[in-house]
Amino acid sequence: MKVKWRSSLQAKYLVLIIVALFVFPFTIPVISGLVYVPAVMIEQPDDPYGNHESFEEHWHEQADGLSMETDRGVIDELEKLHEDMPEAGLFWVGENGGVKGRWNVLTDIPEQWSQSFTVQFMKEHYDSNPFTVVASVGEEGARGWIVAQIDREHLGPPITKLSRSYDFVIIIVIGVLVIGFGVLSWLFFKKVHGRLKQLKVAMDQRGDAGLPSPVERTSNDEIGELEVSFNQMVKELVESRKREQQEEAIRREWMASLSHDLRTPLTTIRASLAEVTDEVSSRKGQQAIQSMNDKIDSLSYLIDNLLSLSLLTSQKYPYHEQDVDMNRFVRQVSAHWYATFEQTEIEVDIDIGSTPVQWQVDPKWMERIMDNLFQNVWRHAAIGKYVGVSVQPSMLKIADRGKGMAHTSNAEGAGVGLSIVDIMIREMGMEWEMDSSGDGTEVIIHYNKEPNRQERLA
Amino acid sequence: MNILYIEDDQEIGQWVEKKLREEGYHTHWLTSGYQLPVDLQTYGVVVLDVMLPGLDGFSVGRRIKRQNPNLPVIMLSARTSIEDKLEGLEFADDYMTKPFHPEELLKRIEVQVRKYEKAPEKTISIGHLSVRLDQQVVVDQSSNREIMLTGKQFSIFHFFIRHLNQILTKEQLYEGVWGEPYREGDKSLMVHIRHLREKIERNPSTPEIIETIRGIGYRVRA
Repeated sequence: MKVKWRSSLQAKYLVLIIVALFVFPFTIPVISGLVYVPAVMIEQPDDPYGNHESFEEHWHEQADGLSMETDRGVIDELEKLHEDMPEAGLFWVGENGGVKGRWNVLTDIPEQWSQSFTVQFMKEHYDSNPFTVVASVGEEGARGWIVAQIDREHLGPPITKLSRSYDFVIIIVIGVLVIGFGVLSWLFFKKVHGRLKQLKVAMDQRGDAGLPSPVERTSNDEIGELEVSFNQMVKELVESRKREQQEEAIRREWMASLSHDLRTPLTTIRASLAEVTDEVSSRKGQQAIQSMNDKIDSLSYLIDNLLSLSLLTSQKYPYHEQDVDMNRFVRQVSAHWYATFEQTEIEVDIDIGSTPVQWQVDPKWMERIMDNLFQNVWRHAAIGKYVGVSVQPSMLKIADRGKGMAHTSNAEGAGVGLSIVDIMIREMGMEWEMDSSGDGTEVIIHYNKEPNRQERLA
Repeated sequence: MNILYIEDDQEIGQWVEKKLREEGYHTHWLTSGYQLPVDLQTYGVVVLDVMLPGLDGFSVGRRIKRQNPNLPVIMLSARTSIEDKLEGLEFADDYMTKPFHPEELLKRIEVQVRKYEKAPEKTISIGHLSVRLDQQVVVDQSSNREIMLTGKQFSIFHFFIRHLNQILTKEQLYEGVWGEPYREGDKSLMVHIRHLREKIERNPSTPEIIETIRGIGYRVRA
């Protein structure tokens, strides 16, 4: 099933990006509107400064009104103006160039003004900040001049007065938008990441049959699709495992009935032999009966190995790999064999260290390998009265002190047994070597697999 | 003693029946497991083939064990795979594969008989010790004095007695007695066994009751 484009993760992420791309260009006009419109709409009637023109005009009007006043009167008036316009710097320079009064003066001025200073002052303060207005008092400046200075920030329309706070607001808003977009993207990916992680956990978790359990579909997007595919895969795995188990059961049944058909006559032969044993009195005859009995055991052993070998060579022998604690495992298998060796007075020398040894193998295969090797020692090397088993992290060694493989040419089953050992070791990804001389045989299995190899089903 | 023997193969059946009779057992031989005798409790041991016509030996064995849990069952089968052995040993007391030596079968019957016959009195003799399992008492027969064991020491000893003649690995012992997984390098089992030996052995430095099987574990023999 295809994912509908609308509900896909792609679409969701594109929406996020497009929203971000649209929001950014619109931010500046929207903020300007939000900041300026209310400021412009709200009139400020008590603004004592007005704009440049009105401020200048107002100052000249004041100067005109002062021409008839006494000095005291002028100072009082200026005092009043200072109270009305506390931010403005005011001073009055008299007709002789002496400063007659000053209120909140914004620039350095001398007490006595020379003509050249006056010219320099005019030149310096023309079209600069603070905004300076010079107005003469009386006819042609007969009573000097009054000067008003005001920081240009206090003049002009409300918009220019807001420009500083506007910068502040825009930085904050853009900052919030950038962080907001970052957080949204992060949340988006965090959610995707969380769902993917959940799926991974579901894949790693193994149920009773060693298979993962199906997951619930969380959405209609791509991950939802992945969940559906995952469930499909689990279903197929369960079915294939079931099929495999059925095949395994059929194989087991086949082996059992074949084994039964072969062993029953062997048992009957043994029974018949037992019948005639008492009748045979000659030593030669008894020897022949003993030999036949031994051959029955060899044949029985051979049947097992041949059946296993046929399954192994046709890749039908069930294989289930797992972590095996080799120290414990070797001790356990050796314990099973101990009594058998003890009966034939074979010394069992086990060398297992205290370091944990973990191998990734099928314990049943490993047991089969060890059984076959022990079987060979017991059958063909009992004369050496010794079997040594040594476990190391990358090596398992089984040694005897028999007469070596060269002397076991008449030993039935050894070849088939070793073929099984060889196939099983190689199938499990390991190597082995056998060193056989007249002083004994040494079998070494080398384990050099990477840990945590995936389970393999043969 | 009565032995119930179920085997469909005539030749093997005759042979085994004869061998059992020679050994002094009253043998009741059946060729299928459909009609089990009603007086099952009168038998001492059941020897059972697996591949029987119709109802297989595993089903017959389970049915017998359900009715008489204390009746020892020995499976005698041509099925040699480990899966079959495990399935059989889930309920049966022993599992022998064909072709077998009649002497081995007789020996195994003897072991089962001994095991079950001794069970009612619950007193076992091991070396110079006599153990009463129901009362958790261990007596030194030579001096006739009771040996006092701690709870853990008795649990270990009891575990050995339940698995007489078997070689028990360190892991099996630890997990059987403590009931938790054994950690490589744990010395507590060794310490407990040393203390147990100090109490039950005549000479703890050359133990006769609890044998050390070097590299594998321990064994207590009957």
